[in-house]
Amino acid sequence: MLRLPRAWLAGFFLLGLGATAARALPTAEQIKTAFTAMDTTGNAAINLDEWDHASFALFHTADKNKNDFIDADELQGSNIAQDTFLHADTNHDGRLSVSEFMELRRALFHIADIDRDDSLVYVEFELLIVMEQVGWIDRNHNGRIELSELRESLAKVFEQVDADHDGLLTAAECAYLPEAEFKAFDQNADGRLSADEFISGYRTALLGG
Amino acid sequence: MKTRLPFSLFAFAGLLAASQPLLAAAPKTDARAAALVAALQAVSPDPLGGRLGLAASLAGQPAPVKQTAKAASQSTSAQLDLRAYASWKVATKS
Repeated sequence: MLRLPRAWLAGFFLLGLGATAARALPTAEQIKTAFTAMDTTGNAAINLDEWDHASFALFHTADKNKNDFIDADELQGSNIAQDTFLHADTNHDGRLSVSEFMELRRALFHIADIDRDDSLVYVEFELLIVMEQVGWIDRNHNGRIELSELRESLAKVFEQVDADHDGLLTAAECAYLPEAEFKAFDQNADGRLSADEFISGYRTALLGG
Repeated sequence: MKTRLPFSLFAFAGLLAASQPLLAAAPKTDARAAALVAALQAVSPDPLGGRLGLAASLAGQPAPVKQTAKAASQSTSAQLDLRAYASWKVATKS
């Protein structure tokens, strides 16, 4: 199998961030529905157990022939999914075991768990969904969003969500944000979010100040 | 014998009645898992996490020197994951 240098791939990935999001972002209602479905205890947070159970359900669905592996031909999706498959397949046997899949899924959980309390509140889950499409900045390649990387990552999200590139987000461009969240971010109440409002709104929601 | 036959019938009927909620629970649990997957696929069609998953898989690649040291613990955690997955399947189906 062709093995490309990791730095080269990382560079390629960062270049890929400049591309527009591959598909429209989901609506706030869809994100809320997914969050509620995962939050089986109903405590407004997803813990690791709930995340694992949802991931098992995803694995089970993807494993079409039910042999407890996701084979390359069972994985449908973009080139990104195919590339991820190659890297997540750590023993290079051409298929993903439950363990390899769960390792990747838990890595996603830890990226999204910005306040590092081992649970995802709604706003963390929402950002995870958005960043799955637009990516994030991981300068030190540790697989987590450091506080120093958060601002840059949010700026990247803003850039991608700003469909008309006018430097302001309308409610229509931010259809993935619940109305209350949009209003809370919109400090000058002009019905649009500047990059500063967007970033500081998220920072407040994620870190409480 | 005359008295035992009706008793057996009653016992059988009782067992059948008692098993109904359990039998009904299987599709209900399955349906819940299917609804969860549908809700997740609506917001995140790639179970590997899209761009975030790709970056995570790159970040998560162990350096060659660490590979041997991690092998034992990876094997243990793989077994734990397999067991947890098997339990999940049982819980979802039964």
